[in-house]
Amino acid sequence: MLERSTDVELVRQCQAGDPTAFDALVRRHEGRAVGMAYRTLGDLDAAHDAAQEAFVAAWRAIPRFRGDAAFSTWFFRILHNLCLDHAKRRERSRELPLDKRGDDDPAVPEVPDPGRGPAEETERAELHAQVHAALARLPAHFRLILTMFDIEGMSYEEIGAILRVPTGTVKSRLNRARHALRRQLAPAMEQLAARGSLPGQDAHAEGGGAS
Amino acid sequence: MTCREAEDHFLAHSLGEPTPESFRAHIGGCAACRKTYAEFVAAGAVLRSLPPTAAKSGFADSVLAEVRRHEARASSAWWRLRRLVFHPAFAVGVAAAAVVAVVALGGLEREREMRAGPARIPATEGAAAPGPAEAKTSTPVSAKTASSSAEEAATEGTAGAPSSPGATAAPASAAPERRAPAKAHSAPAGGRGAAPRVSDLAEREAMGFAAAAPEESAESVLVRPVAPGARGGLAGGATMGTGAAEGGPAGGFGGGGYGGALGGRAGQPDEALGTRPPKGPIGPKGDKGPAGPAGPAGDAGASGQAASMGELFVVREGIQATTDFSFRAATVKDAIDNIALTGKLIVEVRAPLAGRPRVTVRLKSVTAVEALKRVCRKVGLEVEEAGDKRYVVVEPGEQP
Repeated sequence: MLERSTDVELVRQCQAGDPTAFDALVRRHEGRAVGMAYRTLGDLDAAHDAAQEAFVAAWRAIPRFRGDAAFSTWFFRILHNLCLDHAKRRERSRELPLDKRGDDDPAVPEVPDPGRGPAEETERAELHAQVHAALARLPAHFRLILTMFDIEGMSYEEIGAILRVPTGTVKSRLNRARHALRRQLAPAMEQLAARGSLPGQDAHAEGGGAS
Repeated sequence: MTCREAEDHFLAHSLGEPTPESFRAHIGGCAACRKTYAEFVAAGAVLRSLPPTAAKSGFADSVLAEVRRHEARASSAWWRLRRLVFHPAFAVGVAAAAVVAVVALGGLEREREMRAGPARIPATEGAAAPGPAEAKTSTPVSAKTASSSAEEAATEGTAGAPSSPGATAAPASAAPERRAPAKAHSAPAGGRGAAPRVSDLAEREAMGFAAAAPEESAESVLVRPVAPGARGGLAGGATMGTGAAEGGPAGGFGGGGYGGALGGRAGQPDEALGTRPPKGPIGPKGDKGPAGPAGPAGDAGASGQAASMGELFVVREGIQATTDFSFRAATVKDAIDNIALTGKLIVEVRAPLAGRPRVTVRLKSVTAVEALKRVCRKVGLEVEEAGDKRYVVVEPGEQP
């Protein structure tokens, strides 16, 4: 029953003090929340901690949620701010798990693709490890915006609402963040390009292309 | 168009969005840009190829358990408080503890004068002599009078006088920390009419807020920290210094950290401190037990752990225009949230707050709006009024 309720309905029930409605909201948004925190913090346990903290903060603040924005926008703004805080704290304490991760990263196991051979699987795992390391070297706000757009598939408008910036600002930030990632990945890209296995090597992967 | 300028249009171009003609002309004739563009597109592709991350099994259950734990703690804290405040023994305890404080204070004052040297004794003898005598004859003094005496003494910095068995052994450095508890104590004795709302209670507890009683106002917000685990509940006597006896090693006031925030900064109004507050006026870390009502300063400011602050309880409800804010917040955002809650303001934070220093704030006799503005100003933010108790926190120069 609750699974079919909209976020707005669930929020109203939460504001009436019904924790089961909040349970439904958590289940609806937990995957994206943990994913966003994981790509930002690079540690699955820390990501769960941050996501849980964000949900509890949301529960505490939900009586004051006026519904001016969607619940997801409001919640991900809380999570975004928390992730930035956690990331800063980790950077200060020199915890850079993403940087240290290699192929044996146990956090998110690679699921073998039956369509690929062992060599391809190894290559893919190696590439993902390099992306992890490259992401870890980016500023936290770049990691967050790239995660929201490229991994979680949020729109410019959603991201703009979360960050409280205009869509144009989102686009320029995303462009800068992607360039920063490109520079970090440049050595790996060279190798992949030489082997002809660079993703999107035809430069049309996103619907555009150099003309 | 230069190559650098062309890079600004890569994302739009890769998504098939409109781009200037000059860009298309440039990238068509620039091999370097085409290579960079290919890498740009590939970077996006590898990001999207990362395996999806799912929450661990049972994650939602653990969130709900945490929510329920939070609710139960807040609610049970309220009931403990309610039972205590409305119990007849509470008023008796308040009166008794206040009398002990007055008597002990008089005794200490007398002792101090005796120690001041023979030259001073004749000069002060006449005035000092009635001290203990007055204290003795005032044994049936009302709780209100007694506690306000203790409050005055604390305000004057003479609270080193033992106000309870627990406080007798307190080191001199803990003396200023008794100020807040002494003040806190007077409020519940003065009236019990208004009941706190549980929602506010929970929020304030969670946010690590405590506001000391206003200097003059009868209506006040009074939030009182209690040692973690609530040994003996709120234990009204703890505010008068029995905390060391009842609360065990954590002292009677907050299990570390909070006493310092409340009382330790008493002599320094209107301050926002960095992550690591100075140890001097707050008291030594880990100096537990003998600290009495104020409790050790601990390092809540350094660690930012709300748990080390102890639980907080609203004793009376009602906001006055003039309030004495005193709290330790993990972040500037927490501080702003605390003030918003206290002043019933609607505060929208548009400025980035990440990385801002944690704050320990004591704001003397200001309104909630002034408190908000002062905290923001300390960290280089501005507050814009949006009418109807709404405020927007922005970076300087930014349009709200």
